[in-house]
Amino acid sequence: MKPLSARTRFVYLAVSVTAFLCTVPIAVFYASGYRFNGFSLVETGGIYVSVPISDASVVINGKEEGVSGLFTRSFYTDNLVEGAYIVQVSKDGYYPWVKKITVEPRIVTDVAAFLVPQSISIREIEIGDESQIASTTHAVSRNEYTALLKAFSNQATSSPLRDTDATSTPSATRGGTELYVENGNIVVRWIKDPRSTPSSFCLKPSACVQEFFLEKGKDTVTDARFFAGGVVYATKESGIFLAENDVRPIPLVVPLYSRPGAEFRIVSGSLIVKDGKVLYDISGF
Amino acid sequence: MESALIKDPYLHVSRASDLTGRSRFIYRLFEILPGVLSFGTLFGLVALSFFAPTYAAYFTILFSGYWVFKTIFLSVHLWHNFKRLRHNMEVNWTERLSNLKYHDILHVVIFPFANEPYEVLAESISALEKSRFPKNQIAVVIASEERAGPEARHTAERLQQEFKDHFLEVLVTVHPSGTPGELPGKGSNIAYAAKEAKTKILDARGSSLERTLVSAFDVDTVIYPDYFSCLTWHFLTEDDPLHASFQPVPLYNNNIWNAPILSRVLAYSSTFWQMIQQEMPERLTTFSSHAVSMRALVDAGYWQKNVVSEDSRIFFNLFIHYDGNYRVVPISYPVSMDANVSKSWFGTVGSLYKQHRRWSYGAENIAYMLFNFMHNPRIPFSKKLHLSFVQIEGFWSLATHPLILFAVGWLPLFIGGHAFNASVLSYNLPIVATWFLTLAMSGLVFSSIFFMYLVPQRPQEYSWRRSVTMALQWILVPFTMVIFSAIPGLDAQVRLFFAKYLGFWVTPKNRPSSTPPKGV
Repeated sequence: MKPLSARTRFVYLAVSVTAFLCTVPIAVFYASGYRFNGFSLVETGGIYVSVPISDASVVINGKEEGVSGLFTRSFYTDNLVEGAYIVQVSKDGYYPWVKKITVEPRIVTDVAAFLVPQSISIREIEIGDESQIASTTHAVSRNEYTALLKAFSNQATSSPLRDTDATSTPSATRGGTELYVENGNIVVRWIKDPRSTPSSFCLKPSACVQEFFLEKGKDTVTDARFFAGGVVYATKESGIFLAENDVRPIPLVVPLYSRPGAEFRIVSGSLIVKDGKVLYDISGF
Repeated sequence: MESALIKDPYLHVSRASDLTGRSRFIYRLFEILPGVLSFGTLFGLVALSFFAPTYAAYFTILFSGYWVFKTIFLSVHLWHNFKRLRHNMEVNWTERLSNLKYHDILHVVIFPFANEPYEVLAESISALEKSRFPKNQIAVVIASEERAGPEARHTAERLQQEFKDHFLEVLVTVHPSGTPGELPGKGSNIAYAAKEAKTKILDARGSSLERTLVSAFDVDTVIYPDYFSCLTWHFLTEDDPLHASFQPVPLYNNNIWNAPILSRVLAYSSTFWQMIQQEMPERLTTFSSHAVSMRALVDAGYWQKNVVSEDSRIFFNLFIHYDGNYRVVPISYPVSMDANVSKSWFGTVGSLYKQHRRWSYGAENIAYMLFNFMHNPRIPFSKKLHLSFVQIEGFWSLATHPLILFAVGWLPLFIGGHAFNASVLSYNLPIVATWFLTLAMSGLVFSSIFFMYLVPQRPQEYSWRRSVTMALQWILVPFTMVIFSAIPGLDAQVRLFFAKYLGFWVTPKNRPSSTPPKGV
């Protein structure tokens, strides 16, 4: 038996080179977002949805893309032509989340679903033994109670009603994002390199802003903090809310405590509300 | 040897420091070249990933695609050689030889050894004894080292006594230690042994240099019964056999069932690479156990005594000495050797790394080849160009391709910046590259099948689970490509770059219990 002849090897080489030359350019165009639409080549984009919890259904323009699981917390949908798409993420027991996403050619628009449970627990905080008080009450030691009260004796970082400008002290900072309470409204600002502006500041990939009003209504905001993936804020008139930190419509705003004049603090990762002289622990999300 | 050096004064140069002046400078540049190309490629890709991630991503996709088709192309060669190997194992070579005049052919078989156990060498010589080729045409040279001490000398003499009546002659040579200009190791030992064999066996009997084939084996090389018949047939039927080396396929079957998983994968990866090369003779150089005529050895001054890669260097010595009229003939017939096994798992990992670094150190041949090409106008330019490309591309790809495929190629995703990370290309790069890599790695199924065909039958002490592990072991290939191919490859090239030259390192031979090789 003889080794492969030069001729046979040349044929193998020619076939391999031809297959390479035919396949790889297609792969490059495909990876770049080009797709055939009939006989024409169109540029497509995509949407990348991050879902923070399991068992949530992801729907884009009425078509289910999948259900999140323990290891499937993100969904990438490509082959989308330029235009607006409605992304819905829903799960029983959670407020439905809907977002209008604009897709541009060769760009992937990413969005993080903001899912807030409908059953939020509000428990009064008392001094005492947990086993001897009602389940609607959260018992803490006297020292803990004193520490919580002390948290409210400190002034919130920014002055709620102060007339401020953009250079004022932010009420909260996370990553490159800062929260400002200005004239009773909440402004979210991106303070890092504009070239790395996150998509939550972009109405569409090519139209990003460096700041936007997270709340600009008739109510007067007194304080705002980052919490639970969004922003929790208090108003003089309507109580305390949790809002989604995203400029794109339709931002989700959930009432947490609906009595006017209540204050809140975030103490050791827990949301504590003070209404008059009574403290409440708000949990469940 | 002296005449060879008169014709080609740089024939036995080992490194830049052997030279002076401008020659030394040029040789250093050639030593630096492999490292420059490999690190230039890797750093270039890192820079491209940072400054132009889109182009880096295109490159990664192109490269992954290239890898797929290269894998398919090479797999076809492997498949063909697998068929040829099995065919050659079934041929009755002794019968085929009967049509040729071969009774004046003499085989000198050199077993270089240092401190290896008696059993290893005894098994190798016993296999030789079972050869179907006439034993009175085989002379065995037990090439011991003086530095190994009296115990090694005693082992050699014991073997000589045991086997001297079974062969034309069993000669024990003792390579003196501390000879100036020599690198302690296999090259200097077998060169000394071959010279001694010429004097004490060939000259004493008046045997012809042209009708004598010298087999440079490793101490653990175990032949199959028809090996020398097959080798002789190829020698006798080859056009111009004195300008050719003869290369068998090394199977690492001696201890394959006892070897740890990494060792098995690496050993047979090496076998498969050799099998592929057997179908590409124009790319083939001598490797490990090989055979060459005594005429050629004498003409070139034997194996070079001052290099690590004497097995491949002898090809370049002869190619240059014969002005490009030299080649390697693939005989597609196996010899069996030991897979790398140390006394502990970590010891084996260390040995594997050092063994592959030594093999990768064959990049030292690039400087030697280019420098001698400069000084030998008699070699046709096309041959110089082809061999230079094959060698440089070979060592460059060995050191860079695994890292590009499994590490550097993915860098745009991590350092490409915000704009790139928001692109469709960024999201699709891992998807498309994974398609290609999965397709390429599916070729490992064939590796697994070929491997199970080529290894000996499972010894009774191992359960079926061992067979399953051996079939599935090939999923480790991406890991072994990086850790035992690319990294030692770069290590060897860095040493050449900084002139921190490597010494010869003897692969330890540990065989708890031997498994005799089987026919394929």
